[in-house]
Amino acid sequence: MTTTHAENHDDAGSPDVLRVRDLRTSFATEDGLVTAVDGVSFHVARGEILGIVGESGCGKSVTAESVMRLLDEDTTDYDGSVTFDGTTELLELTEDQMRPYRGSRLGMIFQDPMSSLNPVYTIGNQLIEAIRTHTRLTKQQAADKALQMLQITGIPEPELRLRQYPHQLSGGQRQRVVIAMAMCCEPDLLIADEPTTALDVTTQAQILRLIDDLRCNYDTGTMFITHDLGVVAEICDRVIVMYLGQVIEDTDVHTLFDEPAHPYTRGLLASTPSLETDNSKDLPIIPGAVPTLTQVPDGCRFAARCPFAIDECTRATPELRPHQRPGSHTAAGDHLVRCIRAEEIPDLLSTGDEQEDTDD
Amino acid sequence: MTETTPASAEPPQSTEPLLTARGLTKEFVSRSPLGFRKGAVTAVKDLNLEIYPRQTYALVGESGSGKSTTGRLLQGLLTPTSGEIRLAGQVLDARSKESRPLRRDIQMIFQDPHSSLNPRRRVRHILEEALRIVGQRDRSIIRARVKDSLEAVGFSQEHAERFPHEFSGGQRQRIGIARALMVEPKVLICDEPVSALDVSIQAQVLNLLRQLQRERGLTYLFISHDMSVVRYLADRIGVMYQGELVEENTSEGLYTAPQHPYTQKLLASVPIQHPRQRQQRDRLPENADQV
Amino acid sequence: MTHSTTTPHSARPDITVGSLNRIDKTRSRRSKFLRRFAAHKLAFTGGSILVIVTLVAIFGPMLTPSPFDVAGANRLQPPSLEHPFGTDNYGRDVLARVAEGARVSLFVGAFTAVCTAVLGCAVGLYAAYNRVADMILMRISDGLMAFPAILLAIAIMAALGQQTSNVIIALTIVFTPYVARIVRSSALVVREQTFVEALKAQGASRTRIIWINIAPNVVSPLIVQATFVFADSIITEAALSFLGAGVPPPAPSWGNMLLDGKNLIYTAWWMTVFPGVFIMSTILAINLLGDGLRDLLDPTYRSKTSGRKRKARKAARAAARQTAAHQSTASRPTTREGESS
Repeated sequence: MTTTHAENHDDAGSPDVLRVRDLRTSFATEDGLVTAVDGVSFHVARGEILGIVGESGCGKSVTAESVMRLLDEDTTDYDGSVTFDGTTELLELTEDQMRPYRGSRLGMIFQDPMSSLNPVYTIGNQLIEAIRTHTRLTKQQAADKALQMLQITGIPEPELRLRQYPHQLSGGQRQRVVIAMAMCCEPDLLIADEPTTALDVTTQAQILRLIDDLRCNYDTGTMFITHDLGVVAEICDRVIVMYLGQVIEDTDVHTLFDEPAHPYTRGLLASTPSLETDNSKDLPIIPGAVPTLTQVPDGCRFAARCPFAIDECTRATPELRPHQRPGSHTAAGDHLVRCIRAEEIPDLLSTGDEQEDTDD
Repeated sequence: MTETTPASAEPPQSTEPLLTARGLTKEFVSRSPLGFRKGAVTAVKDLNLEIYPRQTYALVGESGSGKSTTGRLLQGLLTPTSGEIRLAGQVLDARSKESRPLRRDIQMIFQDPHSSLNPRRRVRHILEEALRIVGQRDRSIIRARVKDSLEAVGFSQEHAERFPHEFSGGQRQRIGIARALMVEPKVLICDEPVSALDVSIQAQVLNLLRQLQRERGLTYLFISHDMSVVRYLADRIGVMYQGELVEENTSEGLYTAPQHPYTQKLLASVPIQHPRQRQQRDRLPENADQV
Repeated sequence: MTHSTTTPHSARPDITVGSLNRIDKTRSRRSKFLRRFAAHKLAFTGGSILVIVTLVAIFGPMLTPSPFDVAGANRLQPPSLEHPFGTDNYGRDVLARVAEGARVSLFVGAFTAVCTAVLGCAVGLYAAYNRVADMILMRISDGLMAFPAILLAIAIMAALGQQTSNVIIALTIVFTPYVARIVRSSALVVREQTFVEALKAQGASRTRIIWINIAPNVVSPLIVQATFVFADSIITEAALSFLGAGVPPPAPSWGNMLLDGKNLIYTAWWMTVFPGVFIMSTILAINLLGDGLRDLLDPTYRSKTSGRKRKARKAARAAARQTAAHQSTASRPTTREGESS
């Protein structure tokens, strides 16, 4: 055991496959240094699906790419710690040391299944290649393994698929192949970056179920990145909500939907139409848009769009702190929120509604 | 504009349909370099539609179901292989010059807000162009209309001097809507107008579309794959599957009593609203995506 | 419908936070481009050399003796204070002839670049938008591109007669296909963008779509390509003149000065070296400029930060990583075998 990081002692024997502490990823651009991920901390346990939710520009994909170290190292600075499997500090590995991790112990699924497969090789070739890169299997053994993986993903006629090229498959089938490729070395951590966004609803439901099954069978920890709260409700165990590079809320999925604490989370939940939404009224909206990373506001980053913002919000950046509401069934410390008024908001909302009623 | 109740409450038979399609069919023929017919794909097959004024008609289906092609056929961007399209009783023919003024009444909003505005032209020019195309020369009319359209979508005139890249995705989509409003159309064909937008921006654009419908009496053909959005916005819904309209009903009726198996599958696939619904959820049959 | 400010409802979507200060950005776009240009070392060097050569072309002939004055007594003088570049076999001042030659070369190059850009843009755009025209125009350009540039230029010069204006015509015919190809392929990409479909949906005419809407989107690659044509046509003009098929004597051009000096290269090196150096540095400058413009006009290319800052940070990171690696040699990736046991 190394003693590079004090936490490592605490982590020894913990089930967390990934522990990210105060991750800061910044890019040098023409407009100066842009911090796309600003002090993000989270952990993923074995067999757990952690949802990372946010809109475009919130840093959720950059977080995933930082864990995999996929960003151009010439222009990117990492800070903080990404501890894999309790012992290995991923950010401190050299590129050569990092390579054996990618694709074997860290699997990744991308949004676009077409561009993550090479169009000039057959599915079989690509799967066998992926397997043999990280194992000592013979060609025949790897081929058997490839077939077995395709069967697990539930793709019809797997023998035929091995001989086919990516363009001969439908979008859903391609994504199954990508998942088979990510799972073929039985990774400890699977990172899924919007894996169903490019798919039809019916296919999406099946792919979600597949990812859910895989985590049960392989005990894989999963980072599931999405902007879709419906998908979060379907599959995630715990959720972190990101806004402009920061985690603003961190809790289990039931608490997130039952008692969202941050005004942004509340806004997101309210503004997403559902089958039950009353269509005689306008949708509640979050005004404005996410500012760009070159114009990060002082204080609370959401304050300018927040209906509950007060002067104090813009004075100092709020801490990510435990949220406790009387009568809440979550244990203290399990629900983190980055808002100084989180506890007052339910009361404000009820009085606000009354005011509105009297206004009309 | 006092009438704000959803139009589904009133019987649509009370008025004449504004936009109708009869037996609409579109075949895409692929040809060899010498012009010989190599093969044909029927994107839309014998489609019949009636869209009533001031209503929102939604077409849903998965990618490749022909819903976008239908939108383009109705707008006149594509010429149907056979079938007839009528706007307020008059026949629309994509090829004939006479139906050009009629086509003006049908405008379109596109999915991708990033490529749907010319990056090299200022917003003012993009908007003015819509009127110049239809032969409007009067500068004061053009200027007034630009102001009106921009204000309708929540912008002020100073925004007209900027280039599209200075706006966010949701703002660009609103500029796209302003462009469509320039010629004061009766029908807006919205092809997945919110699917490329962030969640918090989607609601802004949906509300804007509803507000414009109330204020301007617009009729929408809303093409989408998102059942929740469609449920919220539409009065009537048509479900397309492999180029055919397999089911059509009022929004209420379709969701409460879906008839066609595909509609049922589509509704069963809609993501749940709350994690506690996980247990009750109808699971889908194995390998159902082999279509 | 009124809403109190404490509810998250709002009747109309607000304007983006922070979008208002973007207006200043537009105004400073040009100066920003100039700043980026100055920061791009190669482009800046190329641009500077080109400016110097241009200044020589403009002011040189005013400050030097006439490049046509024949003085038998002054034949083949080596470089001196009176004649910094020496004199040629007719006693003409080489510096004056190089400066006058710069005028000719730059004029031919620049004029050809402009003609090629205009013609190539027209052909390329039209081909991109009309299938039949595309077939015909692109086959013609294939045919033209099949000839070596210099051979084609000589053939055209032979047909047209030896005149400076004909050099420009010949070079324009030679280089237009290259520009047309670039413009066509860019326009094909632009044509697939949704805004073109939106214009069609509005009922826009083909002329409006091509010339008002697609054309501005192909300007960047056009400028870059025109820069390279500028350099290529200076070189080709020099080659033509060297072969005696270009700018007719006694008018000096860098190419025919090389021809004059060819036989005297061992007795009067200055007659070939000075025009040669000018040709080389001008071509190098223009090519550097062209490469720079290609980088600067490409939206995906962004010079990140100044190289020095970046290197310093990178070195610091590498050092930190090395110490970390020393400390954590024990925590090498555990093998799967080790884990399962």
